[in-house]
Formats: sequence, structure tokens, C-alpha cells
Amino acid sequence: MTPVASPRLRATAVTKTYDDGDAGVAALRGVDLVVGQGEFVAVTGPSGCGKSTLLHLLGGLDVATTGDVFLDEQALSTLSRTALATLRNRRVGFVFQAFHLLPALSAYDNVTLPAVLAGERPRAYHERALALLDAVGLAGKADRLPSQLSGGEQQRVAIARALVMSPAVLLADEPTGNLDTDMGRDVIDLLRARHSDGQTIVLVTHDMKIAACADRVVYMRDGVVVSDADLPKSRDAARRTLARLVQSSADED
Amino acid sequence: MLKYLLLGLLHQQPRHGYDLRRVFEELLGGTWPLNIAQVYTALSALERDGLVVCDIVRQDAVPDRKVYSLSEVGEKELRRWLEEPGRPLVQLRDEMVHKVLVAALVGDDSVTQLIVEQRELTMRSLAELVQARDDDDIPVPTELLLDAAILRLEGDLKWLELCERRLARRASSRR
Repeated sequence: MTPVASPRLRATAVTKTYDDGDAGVAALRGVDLVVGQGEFVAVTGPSGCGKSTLLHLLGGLDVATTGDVFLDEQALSTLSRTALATLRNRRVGFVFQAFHLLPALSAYDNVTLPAVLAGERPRAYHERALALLDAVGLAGKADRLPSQLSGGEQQRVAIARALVMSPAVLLADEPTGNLDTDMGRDVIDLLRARHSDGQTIVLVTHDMKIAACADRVVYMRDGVVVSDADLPKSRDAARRTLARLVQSSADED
Repeated sequence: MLKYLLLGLLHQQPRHGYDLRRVFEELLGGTWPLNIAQVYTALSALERDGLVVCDIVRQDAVPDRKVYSLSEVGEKELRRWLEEPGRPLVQLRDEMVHKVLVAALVGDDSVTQLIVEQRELTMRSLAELVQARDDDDIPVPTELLLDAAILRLEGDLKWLELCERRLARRASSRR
């Protein structure tokens, strides 16, 4: 891992135990994670490994049993419920597998909802929302209801909504899980474009191809991180890898 | 295998040796380097077997060129090859597979650590290939080749996950 100059997000010795009658079920059993400014980190692992639970804790959607999460060095455990709700609305952008758009609101109104909740006036957010709808390729569909959009388009609305408050971190939980391959690829391209503009992103996915698009991959198993590796990307390396695979099958003849 | 790839490229159009080498490397995304001697050796064998015919094209300032084209027999042989599916690509004589098998014999700790490192290495290769495939200007055959390589690595990652799970189950049932 590259040394992290200014951690945006930091989880220290985080555990999460869910009550299940007498016995608690441990979803996270001591996770440390540091995400630097501008990093694009994928968290992956088999189902039940705790990756979604971790993402929920990172975004303040849920509270750690022990340990703590820090967003820009502010401990989430010290925040009141109201302060935490405000932080979730203004400093964290969420994207979920099931889009979670409000069905009665247009694409535009879904995108601007966090700004409205933050008490901004339309004059303050209007241009910003239009620019985001444009950036996600939906400038012409601002008036459509979610039901009038394809799955891929709905997810792009959700991404625009997640970005409307210029959050410190964008958290995405299986954002391509409900999409076909091409639409999934569009969504990942969009995340990558935001990443190259400096957006810090944590992406949870079980799909290794999707995880491979990040700059760093964290692999979890049974509630702990078992590996954390950078994914350097160079064209030469890609060519060598492909050559190795082709050669080894050609040698068989 | 080289034989049929060359027949396929000559099926497109007649070609001289250097041209054939160029389109061959394009087809495989530059992953199978051929020197010109190998190309001519293969072409002479094909000519000897009557699969290709060679025409001499006279040129003014430069030496004459040999242009190869598919014969009727070559056309039939190519069709016959294409009608039969190839052997499924299953190779378990990989270093990775052997290491995991042996590490499982040697003991729990070495296999756990090996799988972790093997996964990181495989993920890195996968990331490289996914990025290469997302290039807009790659030719179709290279894209298909990359798809095959990507799926193969995904399969390796799934296998490593399965190994981990099975070995963990064994270990806990022994306790």
C-alpha cells in the first residue's frame, strides 16, 4: 500500500456483533483500514465476509460494537444521532445495489434531494445538479421518473445524487449488482472518471472484474481483512500477462 | 495450431510472408512473436502439402515477391478444422495448482499464506487485463482473447476461494 498522507477515512480495530438470541453473531472481528484522499479502494470477498457491514460502518449508517471510524479524523462514535445524520447527508455519498431512488420524484428531484434536506435554496444547487446530470449522461432525462429509466440510468441518477453535496467520500455497495454487463461497465467508467477528478471512493463488490478496476483491493474473509494490495496498471504489464497466457496454451501443441 | 491460424489469414486474402507475419501478430495482440524464418518454414510445409500455392510477383526496383494464397485443398482443410470444436481449455498442470496442492499437504499455515499471495498476484493480472480490454481502439480478436484470459483468471480466483473454504472446513472438523 502507498503510505497515506491525509487519511480521509480510517477504521481502527472495528468489530460489529449482531444480537441473535443468546449468542452474538460477529460480522466484523477487528478491521483496520485507512483510505487516503483521492484513493479508489475496492473491498471484496465471499458473501458473508463482512464487506457490506464494513461499508455501512464507514458511512455512519451503522455503529461499530467496538473500535471506531474516523472521517477526516473525526470519530463517528462521538457524534450525536443528529450530527451523524447531517454527516451522512453532506459528507458521505452512498450508492446502493438497488438504487434506492424515490419513485415519485423525477431524476432531477432525486439528485437535488440531499441539497434540499441540507436547507439549500434552489438557486444554490440548480446549476450543480444540472452539471451532474450532464456528467452522468442524463441531461435530457432530468424530468423522467425512475420507472421511466433503465436500471443503468437509475444507477447513474443515484451516483449524481451521491455526488451532489461534493462528499468527502463516495461509498458504493455492489453498484453493478442489478445491472447487465454493459450497464455495469458504464457505471464503473463513471466512477473511474470521478476518481480521476479526485473523488475518494470505496467500492464493495463480490465481482473480481469490478474490483479489478480500483487502484487497491482489500480482500475480506470471516469478518477480517486478509489482504490489502495495490493494483498497479501499466499497458506493458497487460501485454506481458496476456502473452504469458497465450504462450502457455500454445506450448501444449 | 500455427498452421490453421495462417490458413485463416490467407483465407482473408493472398499475402506475402512479411504481411502474413504482421496480421498474425495483430490477430494475437502481439502475444505470439514469430520471426520471418518461422513464417517461411510454415509456408513451405503448407505448400508441400498442397494447402497453399505460391505465385511469384515480379517487381521493378525491388526483388520479386512470393505471394501465397489458399488452395482448394487448403480451403477444405480450414473448413474441416473449423467444423470441429477445439479441446476445452483446461490445464491443471499450472504452477499455481501444483503449489496449492503441495501446500495443502505441507500444512495449514503455508497453504493459507500461499492462497492470500496467489490471490493478490492473480488480482493484479486481472486488473491489467481489464484495463487493456477497456481500451477503445483494440481490434476485435484481441478483445476476444482478453475476454478469454479475464474469465480464466476469474475462474482461478474462484478456485482459490473454494480451496480456502474447503481447507477451513477440514481444519475445523479436525479440531
